[in-house]
Amino acid sequence: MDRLCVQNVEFVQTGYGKNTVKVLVIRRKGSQHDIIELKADVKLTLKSRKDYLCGDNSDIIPTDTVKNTVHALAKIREVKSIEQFSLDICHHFLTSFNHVLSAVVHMEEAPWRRLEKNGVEHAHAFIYSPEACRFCDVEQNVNGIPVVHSGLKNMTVLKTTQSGFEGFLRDRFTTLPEAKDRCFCTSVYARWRYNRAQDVNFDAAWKCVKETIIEKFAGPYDRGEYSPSVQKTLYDTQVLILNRIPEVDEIEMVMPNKHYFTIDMTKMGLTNRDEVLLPLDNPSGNITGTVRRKERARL
Amino acid sequence: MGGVCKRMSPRNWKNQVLAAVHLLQGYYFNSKNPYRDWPNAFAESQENAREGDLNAAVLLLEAAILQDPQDSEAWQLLGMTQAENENEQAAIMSLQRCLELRPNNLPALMALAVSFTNSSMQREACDALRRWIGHNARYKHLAPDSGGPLQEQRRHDAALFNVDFVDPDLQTGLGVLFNLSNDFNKAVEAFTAALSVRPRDYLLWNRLGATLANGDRSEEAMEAYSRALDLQPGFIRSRYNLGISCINLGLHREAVSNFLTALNQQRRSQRCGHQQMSANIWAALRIAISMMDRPELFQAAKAGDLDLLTRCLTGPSDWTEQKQCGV
Repeated sequence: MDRLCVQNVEFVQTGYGKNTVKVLVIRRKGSQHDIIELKADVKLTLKSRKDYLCGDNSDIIPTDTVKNTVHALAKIREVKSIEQFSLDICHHFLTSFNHVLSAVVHMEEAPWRRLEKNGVEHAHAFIYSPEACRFCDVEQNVNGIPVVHSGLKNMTVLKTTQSGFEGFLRDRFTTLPEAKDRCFCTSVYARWRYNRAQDVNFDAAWKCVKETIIEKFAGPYDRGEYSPSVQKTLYDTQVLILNRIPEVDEIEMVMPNKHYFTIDMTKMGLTNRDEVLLPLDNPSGNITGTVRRKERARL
Repeated sequence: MGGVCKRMSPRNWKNQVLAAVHLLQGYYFNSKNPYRDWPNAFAESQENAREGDLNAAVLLLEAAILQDPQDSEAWQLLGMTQAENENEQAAIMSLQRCLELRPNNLPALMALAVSFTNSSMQREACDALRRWIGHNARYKHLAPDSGGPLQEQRRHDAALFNVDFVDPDLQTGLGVLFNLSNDFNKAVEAFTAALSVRPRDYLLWNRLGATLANGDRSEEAMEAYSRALDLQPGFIRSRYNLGISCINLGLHREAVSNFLTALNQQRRSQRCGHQQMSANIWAALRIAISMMDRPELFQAAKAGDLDLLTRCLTGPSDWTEQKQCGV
């Protein structure tokens, strides 16, 4: 009976590894210390499935070894960026063994910001500044070239005007009033793919994406920029990013609409002119979009 | 790694460094090069290029360069061959190295301008074109001041158009310039003029095709690509472009077929695996397959399984054979 069941089963995918391997790397340049703290998930797919099928562990690189490898590579390789370190980890597993089919690394960077006062930077003290979480995904098959995605998430921004929502479809279930002037709050998620893995300034690209998102959201500092919908702001941001960073071929963005509603105080005899609002955790709107660079013909 | 190279004696260099150094001046050499020690590598590379075996030509040129890293002509031809082989980054690295050794190499400057244009690096492309004009005995009196923006460059177009004979190289430069400013119709005129002097120049046919394609004239583009491929069936870049035009016209199966042909041509040349194949073509292939709604084929494309894809998509459309190709 058991054997019959096995014959009706085939593999879709296999993979294993270690998650949440954390390291802090300190680079000392005299009295000036640089740090990068990261958290890595490493997943390997092996050529053989005998571990799953027969309980034969001879090909398995233990997940403990995977963890040790991340530690050791952090010492051996210069950790310049999470993207570069992820590339190094993939390269290591694919070249040190001949039975690893693919390696996938997801890495997040802890948002330490060097302390600074009046333009003077501290030599070795930092403060945790979670304005945005920087992460990356690197995937490589044996004999293939690596594919690098970078991203940012949990960047929460709010503006109190220059946002509206009108002209939408109304059916018998629609009760939402049109709005010409509303608060717009969102927690941005963006993930983009590079068209190559070599000669890319990952730090500069990430900074550019972050600044472009903020620029399109906030608009000019004195008067802002009107957003007719989250969809429009999202798309405009993506197009601007693709224009500014030629190394990026595709970008996905998710922008939830975290609602703030004016509290009705009429029963308390008060006229609340959109001054006191209720932040609503749930439900929240969720707007998504992915665009990619159209393939251009090459001269 | 370059430093290690210089400290070794010439005798040791060939034996040890050739094995260890795969990265020189920013260019990544193939680690398994069967032509590494061939004596007539350079001459043979040209023969292979003429016969359409671009991958072999690249390996032979790399061998020639490893034997003599100061050979600027080899760097130039490597760059141009890599571009034809749809490896833009490698092309740019090689051409830049050539120009470090010989700053007035006109074909390298033009090829570099083309590669920068393809990579959307406008400033660098203009700079290369400026240098081309400046080093060109015929036109250097027209050279604009360095550092001027794209519009300044355009102001010199009028002067250049007044030349009474058709210089195909100049027309190529104009074609590239008009591509940069998205003036596709003017670029088409320029490349057509160049082709009137050199009707068998397959590079020009491809440039015309690419300009037409980027100007949304995909059907005419495909005709131009076909002319290029008739003249040089091994012209990988043109076949890639043909695939792109197929995608734009909604001909997904034909697009996939073209990409697979190109990848198989690249792989057939030397059995060295993915290193020999163009990343661009794989990316475009994945896009085309994603539009065919065949998830099992998309998985095969993600995993780089060229054999499975070729079996499934270029064989006869027999239903039972197609069924075998499901995972």
